[in-house]
Amino acid sequence: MELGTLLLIVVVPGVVLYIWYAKLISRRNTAREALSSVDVQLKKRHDLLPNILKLAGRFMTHEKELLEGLTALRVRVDADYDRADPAAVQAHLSAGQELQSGMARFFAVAEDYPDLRSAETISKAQDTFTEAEAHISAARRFYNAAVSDLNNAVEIFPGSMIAGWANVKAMPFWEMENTDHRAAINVDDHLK
Amino acid sequence: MQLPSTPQARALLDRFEDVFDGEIAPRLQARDHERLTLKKQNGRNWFLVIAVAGISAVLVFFLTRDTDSLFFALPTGAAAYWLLIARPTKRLTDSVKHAIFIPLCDALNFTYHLRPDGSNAGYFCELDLVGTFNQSHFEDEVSGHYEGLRFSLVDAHLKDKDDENTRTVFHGLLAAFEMSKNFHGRTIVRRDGGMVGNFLGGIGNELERVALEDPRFERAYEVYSSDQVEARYLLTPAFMDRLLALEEQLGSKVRLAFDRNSLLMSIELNRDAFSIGKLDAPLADKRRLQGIVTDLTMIFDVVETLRLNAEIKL
Repeated sequence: MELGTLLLIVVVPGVVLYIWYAKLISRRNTAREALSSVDVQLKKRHDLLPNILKLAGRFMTHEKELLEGLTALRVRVDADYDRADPAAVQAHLSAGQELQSGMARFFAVAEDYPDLRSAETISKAQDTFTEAEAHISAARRFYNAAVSDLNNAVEIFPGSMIAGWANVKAMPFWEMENTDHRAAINVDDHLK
Repeated sequence: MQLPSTPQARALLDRFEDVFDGEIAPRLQARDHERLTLKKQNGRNWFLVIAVAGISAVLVFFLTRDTDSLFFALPTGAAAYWLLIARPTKRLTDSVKHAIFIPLCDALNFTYHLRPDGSNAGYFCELDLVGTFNQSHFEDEVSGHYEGLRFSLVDAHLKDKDDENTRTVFHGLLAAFEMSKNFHGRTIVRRDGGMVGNFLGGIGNELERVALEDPRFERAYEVYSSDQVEARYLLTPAFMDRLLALEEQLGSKVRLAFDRNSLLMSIELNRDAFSIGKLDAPLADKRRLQGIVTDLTMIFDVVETLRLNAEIKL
């Protein structure tokens, strides 16, 4: 066998494999960067919570369970997790989603407390919270786009093979879990 | 002609009738005499221009006995044309523009400049909203506040001239909106340049490409940003929809950038904006001004359609 042919057989697949490997690593890093962006935005939201909950605690004396639930969720979202472990990432993102749903429920319940509603601080807090949610939503879109790129590279052959060797795993999408808002609205509930 | 579509734009059109009848029409009627005089003078002056060009050519020919000297007639004729026809026409055009824009802008609490310096056009170029240029002409700057946003809108004609050719790189409106807070990064929404154009455009670009979810938007635009999250915060799915709708509504190519505390936008018209048309017909004709109102209401279309006042609460 000629040297040129040998080189062609060894070098070309080697270069292709290396390029694929580099692509996988770079996409995994982008997905991790996106996950960090999500955490930055979640942190901003977490920093808002203590003040909101403290103020709400003064007025919403009958909603102790809800407030405690939110505090517990906040602790869960704040907890450290292994960014390389898809299951841990999934649990972290789910906690973030649960907290978001919990806060939506909190602001809905707060409507029943006129004293709290009239407090200027809570109204400002709600605006800031909505703003934080918009940033989280943007971070989620960035994360999902990065994960989509990574998962395509990991799952499409020969990426699946190379990903196995390089220990690069597909990451979970951050999907909206709470589908309550999609349920049909019973108008009678609002006309009682 | 496309008519203003947003409620504010339609409201302006309603007010425009009053402003036109009460303030603009009398001013234009007062200038109509000048227009008729100029029309007569121009007819006469054309003969003068031809005569000046011809006489100068003949004189030079007798002095030099060289047939090439006949070309001397061209610059002399051009100079005579500028002095006798173009300059007086431009003077009347400027005066008519003042008569139209000053009352119109006063009614809207806007400010008007006939000859702005266009000093921020370099910034538009830096953001890739217009091509590289070395010749520029700016006219008709309208600025003010609308829905709490400070804006300026200027008609720009930018050219790139080299040893052999002069190429128009942009002809249309440059709009700038001042936001209440600074953006953290820089986000640029360019036109999609096809596979090769996008690849070349990405080379040496400090900003990262932002891949967005809307396939229609992705076909029309390429987004680059220094902050992936902020880019998506600004370009929500609803905003992307509205940008596509705005482009369809204006019938023009739109590019935009979010940087520091501004949203900058270039709207490519490939014609003069705020044109008053030819001076052949009577000045106080309402139809003459419809194009100006349509161009002016673009600012309302942009703010309303993109919901700049409500959406970008940075």
